Amino acid sequence: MRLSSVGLAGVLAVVLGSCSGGSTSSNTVPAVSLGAQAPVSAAVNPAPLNVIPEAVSVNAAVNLTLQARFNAENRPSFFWNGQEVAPTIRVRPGDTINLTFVNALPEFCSVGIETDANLHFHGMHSSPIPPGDNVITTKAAPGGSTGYVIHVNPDQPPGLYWYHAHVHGLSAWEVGNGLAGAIVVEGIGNYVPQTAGLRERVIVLRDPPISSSFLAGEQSVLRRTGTVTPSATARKPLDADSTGGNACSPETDMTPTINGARLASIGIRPGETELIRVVNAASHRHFDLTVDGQQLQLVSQDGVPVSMYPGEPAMIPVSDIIIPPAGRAEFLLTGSRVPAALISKCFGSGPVGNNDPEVALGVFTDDSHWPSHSTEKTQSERHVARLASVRRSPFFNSRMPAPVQERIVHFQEDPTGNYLYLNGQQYNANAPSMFTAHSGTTEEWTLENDTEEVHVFHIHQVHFIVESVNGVPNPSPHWLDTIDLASTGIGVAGQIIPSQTKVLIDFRDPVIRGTFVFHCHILDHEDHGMMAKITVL
Amino acid sequence: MRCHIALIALAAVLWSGAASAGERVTGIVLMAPSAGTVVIHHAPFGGMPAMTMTFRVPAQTRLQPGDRIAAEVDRTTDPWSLADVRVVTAAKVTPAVAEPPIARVGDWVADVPFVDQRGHAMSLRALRGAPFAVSFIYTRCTDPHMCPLVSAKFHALQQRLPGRASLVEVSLDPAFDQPRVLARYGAAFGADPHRWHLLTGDPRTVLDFAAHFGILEEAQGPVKIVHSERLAIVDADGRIVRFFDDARWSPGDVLAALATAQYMVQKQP
Repeated sequence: MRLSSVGLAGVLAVVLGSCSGGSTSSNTVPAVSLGAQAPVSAAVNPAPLNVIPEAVSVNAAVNLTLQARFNAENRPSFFWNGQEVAPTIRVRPGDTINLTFVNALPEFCSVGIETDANLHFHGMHSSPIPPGDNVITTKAAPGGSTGYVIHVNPDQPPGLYWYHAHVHGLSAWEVGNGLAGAIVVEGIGNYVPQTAGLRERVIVLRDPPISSSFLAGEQSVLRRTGTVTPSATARKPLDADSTGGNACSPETDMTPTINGARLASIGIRPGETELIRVVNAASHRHFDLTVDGQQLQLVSQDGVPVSMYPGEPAMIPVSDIIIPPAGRAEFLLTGSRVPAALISKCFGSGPVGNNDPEVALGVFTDDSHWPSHSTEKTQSERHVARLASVRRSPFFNSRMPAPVQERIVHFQEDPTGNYLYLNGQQYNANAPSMFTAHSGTTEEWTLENDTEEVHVFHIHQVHFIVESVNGVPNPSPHWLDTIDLASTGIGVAGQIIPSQTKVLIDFRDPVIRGTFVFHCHILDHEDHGMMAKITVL
Repeated sequence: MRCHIALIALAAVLWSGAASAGERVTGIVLMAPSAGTVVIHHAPFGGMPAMTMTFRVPAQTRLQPGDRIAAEVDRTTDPWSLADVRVVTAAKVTPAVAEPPIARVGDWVADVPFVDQRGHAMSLRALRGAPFAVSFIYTRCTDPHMCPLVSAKFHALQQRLPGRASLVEVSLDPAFDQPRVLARYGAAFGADPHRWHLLTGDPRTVLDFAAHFGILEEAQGPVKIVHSERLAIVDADGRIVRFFDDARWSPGDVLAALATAQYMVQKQP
């Protein structure tokens, strides 16, 4: 861009307003509740972890009305029963979710987009046909509403799922700012006896952008993909510069939150083991969770107990758990007498992706001596139940038969990072499906990442297992619905080598018929084209 | 034997002295459970892995959970103490004041309220359904390489616009460029108000819009505005499909870009 004169001293430092033309104020997600600059001489502790209100099914159904509208900070938010909250929906296999979705967002953003909104029930094996879990045609225009009837599959594995907005072009902004909540399918105690009777805790991690404006919501990742050209980026190791300025320096444009707070104290009694259920509801951020190097016992990923896949153990001991955007992890943690930090370690997302810096999310503290009101707020009263109704699934509890079809999906982007593609195509709701599969079968897909940043594969309606990554067989296959695809590597001759992840996808359940989507769950990538349709006949 | 013990004691004294002298630690403050103590998740230092520890701090130290700090460690106390505590990043996240988000190819063009040269309220959304070119001028501009050149080329474009494509010029001097002023300026370049929209409006809104396109402007004196120049092609859906930086674009290239965008409209079912 040429300037008409040299010596331009001032640059307008303005940020485009948010949808209501309102402020570009800082993120005012409820944060640590402290007085300003409280001296250390008084005890200064983070506020107790917020307990998320729940909509619980009664007589095999849960009925709720969710309203999407701007909160006081001009951020798209859910309101339920007059309260600004995305409730956790708690159901049992076989139940029905009757959800009325009201879109009360302002009609247009300042960027001129009609603020449609809808919902996806992530990980749920239910029909993609309206009024079910359909994101292709079902949406509510501003001022309108739509209804969802989700029949929770009787074979739905007991675990943690989530619901979130899924309008192509708007999803990063809507989800990033808060249009997302957790779903718990009860009964994990049946599959993982070690969890039965344990206190359980639902944790929703988000990464709202600092500015509420649409552009901030969508551009956080555009900056990642767009401003760094591969040639300009030296492949430097993470933590190369511990003095700041590198990818692992503190967050600048996002503020990760844990149940709505930036940092929370999580009361856990010494020696008591809890089931910690974490959903990554961020629009694009990875969380790599660790609790002070303690061994965590991973019992479930993406809603499905690890042990449901034949031959897999009930628990996998790990030192840290990488949860990609949209992923879930459930693990056991035992309290200790000394405080232990819940940290998300720096996550490297490839040479042209920005990395997610280290962040402290919480501190597990011995609250057995705290005043009772604190304990009340910080202790979850939920305990894992065993259900009589949970049955063995003919699908999840069986090894998958050989695939009837092999396919390849290339994850691609143009050099500017503005356009993203699957197999060279950008998403078009009106185009025919990229693939047609047949119900009752399984398929092997090779997910090839041709770019220099991590992408996150997610397919609606079904789960899959990872067979191999870059030719190395997966020693511990278990059910997932969301998986990281590593960025390209460099061969010995300097050639670029795409990464290849082979997955075996399960289309056996007859409930799963119709047209749905698969996409990159870094939602800015999805908004910019990295999504396609599949029809299951 | 006594000699050995003395040596070990000496070694211990030397070691502890060496370890504590100027040893710095960085970490994140998690909590301050009581007066003069903080719990910190620290980075590896002095042979210790990253972990959560309680430290003593001087009573007057002001820290908040979430602060990232750097401090000097004294291992001679129990628990260890921190001195020279500096907050590297305060917990309270302040809004990034840095750069405005600059529009990129693929972004939707901002839909802000304008007023055109006829004094009619207008938003760019009204132009949906056909592509348009948008650029930036101010009527008092005298630099022949900038605004007048852009408007002269717009005149050439107007004669050959494909389909319902249109032209938009946004004022960088909205306080002065009232609709009457814009109408005079438009007339001088033969602007047809139905196809060539000269826009002004609330100064802050209009200049924010320009900044969003990466237009830098600064008033130098009452009349002169130094600014950068750029032209964007916006498609029928309101998405930016192409930029032409500075004012040296050729009308042929811009027409070709508009025609391509127009062709995409016709191709859609």
